[in-house]
Amino acid sequence: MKHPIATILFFCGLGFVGLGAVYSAMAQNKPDAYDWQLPAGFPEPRVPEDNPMTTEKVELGRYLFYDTRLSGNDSTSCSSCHLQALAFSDGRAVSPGSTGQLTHRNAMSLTNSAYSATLTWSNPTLNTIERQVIVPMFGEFPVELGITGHDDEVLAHFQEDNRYQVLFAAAFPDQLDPISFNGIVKALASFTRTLISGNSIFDQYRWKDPNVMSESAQRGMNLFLGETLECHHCHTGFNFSLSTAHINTTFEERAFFNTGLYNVDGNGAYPTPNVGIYEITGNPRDMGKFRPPSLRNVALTAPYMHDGSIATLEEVIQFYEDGGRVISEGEYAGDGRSNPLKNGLVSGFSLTPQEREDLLNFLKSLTDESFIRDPRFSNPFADN
Amino acid sequence: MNVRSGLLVLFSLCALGLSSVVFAQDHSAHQGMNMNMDMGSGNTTIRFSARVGDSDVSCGIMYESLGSHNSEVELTDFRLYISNVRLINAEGEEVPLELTQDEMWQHDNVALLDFEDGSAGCADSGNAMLNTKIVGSSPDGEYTGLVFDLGVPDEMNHMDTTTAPTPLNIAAMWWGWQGGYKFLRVDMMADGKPWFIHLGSTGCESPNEATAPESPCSSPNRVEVRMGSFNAAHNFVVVNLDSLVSDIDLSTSVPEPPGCMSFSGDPDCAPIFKNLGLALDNGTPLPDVVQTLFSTQ
Repeated sequence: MKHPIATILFFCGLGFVGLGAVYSAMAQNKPDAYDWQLPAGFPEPRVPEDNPMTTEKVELGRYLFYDTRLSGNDSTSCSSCHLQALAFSDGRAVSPGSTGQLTHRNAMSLTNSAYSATLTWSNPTLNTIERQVIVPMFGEFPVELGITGHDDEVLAHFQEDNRYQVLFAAAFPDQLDPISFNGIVKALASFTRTLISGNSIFDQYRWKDPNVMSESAQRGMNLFLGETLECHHCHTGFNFSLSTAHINTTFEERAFFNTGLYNVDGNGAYPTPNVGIYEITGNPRDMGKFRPPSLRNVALTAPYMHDGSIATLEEVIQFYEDGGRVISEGEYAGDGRSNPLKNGLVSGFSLTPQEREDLLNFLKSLTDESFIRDPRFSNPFADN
Repeated sequence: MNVRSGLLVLFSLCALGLSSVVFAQDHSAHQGMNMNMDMGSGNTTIRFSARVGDSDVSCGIMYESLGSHNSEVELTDFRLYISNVRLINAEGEEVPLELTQDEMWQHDNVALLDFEDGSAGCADSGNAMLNTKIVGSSPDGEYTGLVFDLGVPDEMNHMDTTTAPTPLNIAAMWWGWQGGYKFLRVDMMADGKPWFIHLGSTGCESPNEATAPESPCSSPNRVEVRMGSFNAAHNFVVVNLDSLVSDIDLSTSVPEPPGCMSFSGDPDCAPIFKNLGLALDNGTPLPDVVQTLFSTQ
């Protein structure tokens, strides 16, 4: 036989096609693979093998995301701290959970979290959305959704609701008892993974119409991507974050930086409990190191930094111009500019007032108006 | 038997059939390779060793005396792209080394050498994996020398890291759409302050920073390295960090940026470029100046 592999493959293929047709005819309610509709220049996101993207899971996740019954006291949903109008951030420095207890850190924008190499501000071990959503659901320090201790009640809400019976059955057709926290986690992660933003003025300028971005924003873009300001080392690539991973990623690069926001003891300390990945690694060199977030929709996500301690984008630019922050009095007093753990690329620069405005206009050009209005991401209960 | 177990059985049968055929093919492939070797083809490994003095470099070590001011230096990154590797045969001809396409460190004729392991000071922008060799094949024969380029060839230099094949998909080794890749990235903390060496093409003209240029950059800044005497079986290519920074006062730097990012106007770049044998104003080889970063041992 001249091509034995080809021949066997051919017959195997025939067999599979035949049986496959029978099988799909039998299992008509098989979920549909999700259609990403990715923006130009965007690679396909990574998806865990045990949670493939399906239209049905995404739809279930959307309902769960907006449902306050997914909290210990029916008061709070994911969307309480992740508002679509604010690119899924909440406009607050820190946020109250279901019991009123405040979070330690600023609610991150969920924009393009499908591409985050790690999730949250400062946890190098948290690398899937599936594992991340467990934190706000069940975390007790601080309480966010506050489900711990109310597990059965919360699950009962969904088990007794006709709409959710249908949604869960469609999302997990192979499971006899599909309404579970495992299913909730998978569906929430699937929905979160769809929150992809790539239609800003910058994107339109890059891929469609070179006249759509103002001259000022174009000058700001060249400043941002140039070598004097060094912004792009941490905020690089299509997602404007070094902490980016997708199906074409080979090397798992760490991306956590100390930017000189604090220096309370002169040796680089950040105020507890927000000590960066030092909290996880215990390595003293990791003090104050946080993940560089994507800058997409950054104009919508004030206040800034891991603790929301900088109110405006103008002040953020000034902070990087200064190469760190000086706090002259109070318990956090210290000169962040001389933080010994500060990354070397946060070395400061000086801009003219025009350049400052140009840079600001570029950052504003990363706002994606269609993303914050996209009905696929909106509150499904508002439709009814 | 239901449909699923039917599928399973069919799949098992197919897998069995396939594996026996693959095994047979594999066997003949080995024979083929032996035959090729008889005809004069073999594998070649070029070993690299990045050093300070006689010691291999490593993250987390404080080097006590580097640069003209004997600075205390700790590495925070050390990676570089090598391309266009050629072996010199007895007739003095350059024979290309065909790099093994390993879908990790080598693509086309480009290889990434990675001397940082993401530990200690290298944790800000590194990863755990190391690579200190280039693997390829060339026709069997006597080779007496080695030539290669430090840098990414122009035709691959302006890809998007998002879609580029590995090892050209590393954001930390990429300036951006306009500037292309950092051919050499040496990040240091010198006397407690940052000092960076980022070598790459400059003078890259495109409508803006977010667009790749259509013609080559005016300062290519690629270094051709020639080892007149090199035997891959016995020799290493040594990457001498101390030689690269020998004439530089690392205790200070002209600000914005700290160190040399390949811009011709940056005084910090002058001694670096001289040690690379490059003219700072146009990124081409300096006549009569031999680079000192690489040597043979």
